[in-house]
Amino acid sequence: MKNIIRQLLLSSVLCCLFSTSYVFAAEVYYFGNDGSATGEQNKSYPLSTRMDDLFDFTSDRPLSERSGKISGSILTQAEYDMVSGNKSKSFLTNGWDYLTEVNLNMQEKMGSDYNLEGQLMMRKTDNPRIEPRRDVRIKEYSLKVANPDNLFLAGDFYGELSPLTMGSSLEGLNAEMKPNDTLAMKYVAARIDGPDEAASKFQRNVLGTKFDTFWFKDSETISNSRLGFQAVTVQDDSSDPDRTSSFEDLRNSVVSVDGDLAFVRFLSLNYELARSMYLADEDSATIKDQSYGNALRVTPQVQLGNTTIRHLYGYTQPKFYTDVGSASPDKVQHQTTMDHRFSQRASVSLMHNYYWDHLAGSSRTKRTINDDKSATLNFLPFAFRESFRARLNTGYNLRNSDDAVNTLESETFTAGFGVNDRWKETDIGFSYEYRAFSNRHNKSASDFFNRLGMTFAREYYVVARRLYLSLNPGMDVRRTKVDDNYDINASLGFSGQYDMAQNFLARFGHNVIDSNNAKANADYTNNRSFMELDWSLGKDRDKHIVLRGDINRYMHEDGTLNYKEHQVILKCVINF
Amino acid sequence: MKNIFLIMSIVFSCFMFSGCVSGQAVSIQEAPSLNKRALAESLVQKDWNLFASFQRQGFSDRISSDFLPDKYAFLNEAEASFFGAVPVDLSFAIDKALIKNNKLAVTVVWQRKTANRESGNLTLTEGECTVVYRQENGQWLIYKIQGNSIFIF
Repeated sequence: MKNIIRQLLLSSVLCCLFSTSYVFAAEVYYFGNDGSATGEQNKSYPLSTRMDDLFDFTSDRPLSERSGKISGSILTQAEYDMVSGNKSKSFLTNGWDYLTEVNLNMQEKMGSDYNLEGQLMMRKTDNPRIEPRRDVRIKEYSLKVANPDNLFLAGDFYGELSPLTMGSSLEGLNAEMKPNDTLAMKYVAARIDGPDEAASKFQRNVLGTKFDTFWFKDSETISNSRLGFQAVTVQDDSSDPDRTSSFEDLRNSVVSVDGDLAFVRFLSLNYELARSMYLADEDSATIKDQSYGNALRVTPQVQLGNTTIRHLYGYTQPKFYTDVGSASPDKVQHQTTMDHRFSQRASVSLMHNYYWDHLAGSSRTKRTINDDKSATLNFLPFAFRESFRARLNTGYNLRNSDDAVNTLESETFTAGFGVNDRWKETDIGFSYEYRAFSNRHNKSASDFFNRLGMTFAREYYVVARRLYLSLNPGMDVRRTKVDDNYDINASLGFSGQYDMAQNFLARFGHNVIDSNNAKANADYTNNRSFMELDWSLGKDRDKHIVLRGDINRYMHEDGTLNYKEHQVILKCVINF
Repeated sequence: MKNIFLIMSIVFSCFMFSGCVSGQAVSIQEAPSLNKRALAESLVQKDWNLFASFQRQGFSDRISSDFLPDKYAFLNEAEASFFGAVPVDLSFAIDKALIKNNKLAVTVVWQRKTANRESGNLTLTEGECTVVYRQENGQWLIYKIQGNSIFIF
């Protein structure tokens, strides 16, 4: 299916661009007589102008002054990697890796206010960390015709209907239509994943539809009222890759009702109620029964002056399953947040999140209750120094379990503060955080952290050229319940950029982690350095040649774990 | 020697190509497919850097209050991961960057190194995930993560 869609898309793009019938029709055929992407009517362009505009790579004219354009980029990269020491601790392998990426983007104004947009991203590499296959891979493609109300797309897209039904990257067909102010429709016919024999997976297809109706358009008390109905079905295609495969053959359908209701003042509400049907493997000889489950999300929000209070109630039955939507099955949740602004200088945020599992029909052996609380205070303490900002925060998490023997009980307390300021053209930040984690079941797993972090950043001018430097030291001090010793983890991040010439930049950095652990034979340091030279070419500096060198050294007290990585990367990028 | 010739020919080809297209002055801002990939790369790198020096409140600010399915459960998981092991390194490649209204879905293939807090031993993990960002008040915030999250280990 994937290949067919790609072939169709590619051939349609090529046909549009090069078809002789279109070219012959050029003198008499007009793509349209008006239009633009923002709802303005497009102008009329003869096809010869369209072709000239499309392949005009030499002028500076923006899209608003032409009928269409092709833009894109070409990247070629060669990377040499060298690893020594314990090579099992590195992702790199000795030798050369090559990468070529081509990005194409085509925009064309069509009839009325419709626009055509095509995108294609291809990659070829022998680097297995980026791509397991060495042939030319089409990583992303789409062809879209749209105006402000309607959209018709083939290719890759982010398909979204509602939180519980669909929100996923898909490949296929998508149509969205808004026939009038009170109705909107969406259709999706796509696949989530292609067949994958290595992972024992069939191709997974998805079909979905959504209808949104809008009410009380002329109301003076209600500013937004939407009621939506959506249905999604996900089905593994057991004929792809091979009908004889014994992979799991999933079937899942979700239907839901969702909506928004917002009053002009004080109150707004968002809700969704869904029901799912799920069968993990249609071909299973033992499991033939489909499971059904319900889910509900309701989010009322109240705005009173400078105070906003929001509550989320979530209820998801254990057997609720959504393959392309989002839900945590087997959960009841109450989450309340409150934000209050005392003045222009001070505000507070409070949060309480309380949820539990092990509902009726659950396969869990015990119930776990999570109780989260947090408070954050943001303030600008000095009127004479607006750049000085401070923040205090504290949090508490209690996890309780009703199985006394095999409990998951734990308690986490966090408190911290941070300040930021600008002093003598230097941005300065300091933060401190204390975290105490108590595992009530296994006390030896408890630990306590004191953490410090700082940032310094400043711009200088050296020989009339800009030099930007940034320094980020940090330290974690950890103690466990096992002994009174400390694990000390210090880090230092340093990076900068020097504009050596108008078209020549140097970027550099060094990052070190130094870990001194209480446990014997467990200390290590990790040093990573890089230097990058970026040379811009062309009138608009739209071509770059980048040379980069990386060195990474990991030195452990146990010398058998040590390794070094050296990388040299030469990259050429052409934007057009 | 063969490799050196290959490199030289790639560089030479680029120069030749850049000559062919010299004078092409189309701004990168007008090429959405390029912008969204650059944006996606910078967002993922920025969020990893923030995670590598985890501060609960700072990381919480990067997550949308409408995060699906539950912002604070995700925050607790990310926090537990950070305090369980030291994030040492992440390398990644952007496979897809799909933009739709105020959402940007970034599919990432990644390799991650973490160090055990007690033994210092490195663990190498690979994965693929889709991080969905949502634009709120001019900021792209994490809205949803599908697959093997870079922040959970």
